[in-house]
Amino acid sequence: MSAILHRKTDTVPPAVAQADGLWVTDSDGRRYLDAVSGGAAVSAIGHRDERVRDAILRQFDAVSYAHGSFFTSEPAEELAAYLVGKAPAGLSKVVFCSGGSEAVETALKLARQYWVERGEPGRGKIIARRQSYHGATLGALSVGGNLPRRALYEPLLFEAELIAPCYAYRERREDETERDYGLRAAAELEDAILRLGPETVAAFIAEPVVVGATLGCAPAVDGYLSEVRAICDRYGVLLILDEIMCGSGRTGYRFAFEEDGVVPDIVTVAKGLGGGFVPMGATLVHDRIADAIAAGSGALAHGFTYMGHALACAAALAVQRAVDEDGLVAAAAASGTALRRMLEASLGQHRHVGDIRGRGLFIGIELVADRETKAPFDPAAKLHAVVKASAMENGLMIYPSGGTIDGRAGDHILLAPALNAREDELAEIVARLGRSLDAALETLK
Amino acid sequence: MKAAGRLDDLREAYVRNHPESCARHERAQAWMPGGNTRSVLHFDPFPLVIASGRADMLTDVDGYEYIDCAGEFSAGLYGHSDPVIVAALHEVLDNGLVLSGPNTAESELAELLCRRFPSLERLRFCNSGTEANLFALLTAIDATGRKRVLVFEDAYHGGVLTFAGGGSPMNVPFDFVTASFNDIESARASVKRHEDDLAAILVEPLLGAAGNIPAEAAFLAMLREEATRCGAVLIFDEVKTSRLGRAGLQGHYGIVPDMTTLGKNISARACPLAHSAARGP
Ligand SMILES: Cc1ncc(COP(=O)(O)O)c(C=O)c1O
Ligand SMILES: Cc1ncc(COP(=O)(O)O)c(C=O)c1O
Repeated sequence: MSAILHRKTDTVPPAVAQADGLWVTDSDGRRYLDAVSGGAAVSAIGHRDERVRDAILRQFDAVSYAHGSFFTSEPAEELAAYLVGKAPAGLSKVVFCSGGSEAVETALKLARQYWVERGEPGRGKIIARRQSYHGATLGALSVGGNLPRRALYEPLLFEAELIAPCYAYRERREDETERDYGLRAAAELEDAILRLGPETVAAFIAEPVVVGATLGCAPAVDGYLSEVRAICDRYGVLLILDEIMCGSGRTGYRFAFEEDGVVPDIVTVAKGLGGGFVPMGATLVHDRIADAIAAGSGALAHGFTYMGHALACAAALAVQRAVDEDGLVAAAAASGTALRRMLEASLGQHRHVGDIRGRGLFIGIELVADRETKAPFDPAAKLHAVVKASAMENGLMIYPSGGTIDGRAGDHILLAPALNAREDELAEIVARLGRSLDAALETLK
Repeated sequence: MKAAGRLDDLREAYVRNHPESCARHERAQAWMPGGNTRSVLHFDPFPLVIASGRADMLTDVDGYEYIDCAGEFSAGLYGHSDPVIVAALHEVLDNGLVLSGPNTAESELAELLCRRFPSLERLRFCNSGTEANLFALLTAIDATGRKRVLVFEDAYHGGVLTFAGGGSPMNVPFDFVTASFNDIESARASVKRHEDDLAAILVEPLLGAAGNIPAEAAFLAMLREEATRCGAVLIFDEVKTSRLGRAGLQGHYGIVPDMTTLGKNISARACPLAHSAARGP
């Protein structure tokens, strides 16, 4: 019996007991190879790290917590300076929180406050994308485009304008280049802004690489984000990029958007920021937002109890330093290439693998019933759930999801191993994945 | 020294172990120059003569078995004697061949291909990739009233359209100019230099015979743009590359040529079949 209201009321998942590197052990002694960094692209430097442990203990002996309305702290200041130092020029201030959803709430509230400070209180609408996920809290869910996740809560949500995601595998026509497709997809943003009236739109929020949970790492195609940036600039709309899952080095860039050559007005990070050692999130803001607030009310209208938690900041700082000391951003690029090559070799011609995509160590595999027509499996078969169970059987942690195409049909598998995964571990992931997938497909026959 | 000695040993063993291939090659030399009719299949001292093939295995006339990794030089997508294909061929033979009228399957196949490749609006069948390329070039020359054809170094578009090592004495005497593959600036300059006379640009979107070198998307985009600008016909030779995607490489790159030639894979080497296909004006 468990006193926890678990995700499935009729099952208690295995209890995790111990973990080291990419290996997780449950309380029955079963070992799992972790191909998704703790389950959701979190444990970016693997499980356990002496440097992080030391930093946590040191901070614990000094001070763990004091509320931000009384004190700042050395680790919080240092971490903020560290993040800003790694960000492109212009992104100069940080607001901390404890996770991804909170970082998104912070971003939305900052965008709104910016327009009020600027004397344009009419700007309150948010444009987001279908099939996106920005978090579980009501504000983040309101701008999330994954309809099944929203449906239950619909009466509690505010209305956001949803446009198409950048999803080349299904949306690019065969007579159009990726770039032309990207421009066409981005044009939906302009249409939406004009439909709503630019003077009512506060911000556009998107992920540079669409989240695993909902679209299986469909990356922005070449030219898409720079066109989005240009459209936002044309109408004065703020650009919020959600890098909670794809950021912190995972794509082989410190910030995924660097590959696209754009600088957003607001960025959210979490997950890999604290590397799973502590709950941690952050919202980075551009000068123009910080300056507008300073020049206006001079006060942040938003706050959490755990905003700049000293112990959490010390841990996250140690994680980020470890990422740089160990050269893990470059490693993610190289390992991402290696993993992609192995996946192509082992699954590229698989009759039920429609697409292998993503960036760096953030990879999605879309499963299809028929490669030729790209027809998905019957959603009732819940292939993604069968694959997950089969992988756990085979001692492999992966992150499969359903509803890839429209929230209802489609299945994909997300892989996001720790940035310091070794080549032999990547090979083992691919081997176990192949076995798990085939075993899962066998049960559907 | 050691390696050369080893090679000699292996050659001797090869000759010793393949007497029937050797004998057949000698006989063939009396009636065919070099004893063969398809140079790519020849090697010294004599090539293996293959007696039969099934699925992915080949058997030579001396009884040795081989895993077939040549795959009929990319055309043999379904291996040897796939039952579905064999059954279809039997059906055709039973119904009678070459009946001096349009047959019952051709328009259906044409529709299937046209629906698949974005550049295909209508197509004509012919018998080989070489022939498809010749028809495509002649069509372009006639349609534009120009004569020159831009091709790329090391490209192979058929036995009479070979551009490795500066061309071949067996090439058709068209007015060819060559540029280097994937070199955007020099190829653009070539187009500009010849634009008033340029009938066609013939390019394989992945240089197959030169070692499977994929085109850069920007290179093909440039060719598309330049061909449109100067009124030359852009021809993609997808004889080999049609196997690389539902809509060949044009679908992969999203770049639509004016004409496409197909061969090899679409007939999967059951019997010769090739196409020149074109978009309407
Ligand atoms: C892109 C993105 N944004 C926001 C969130 C929400 O983060 P959290 O679960 O930490 O609240 C997630 C979590 O999966 C995410 O992937
Ligand atoms: C790209 C390309 N074009 C044309 C041809 C000629 O085709 P065929 O041998 O059917 O004449 C080939 C044959 O290898 C080829 O590879």
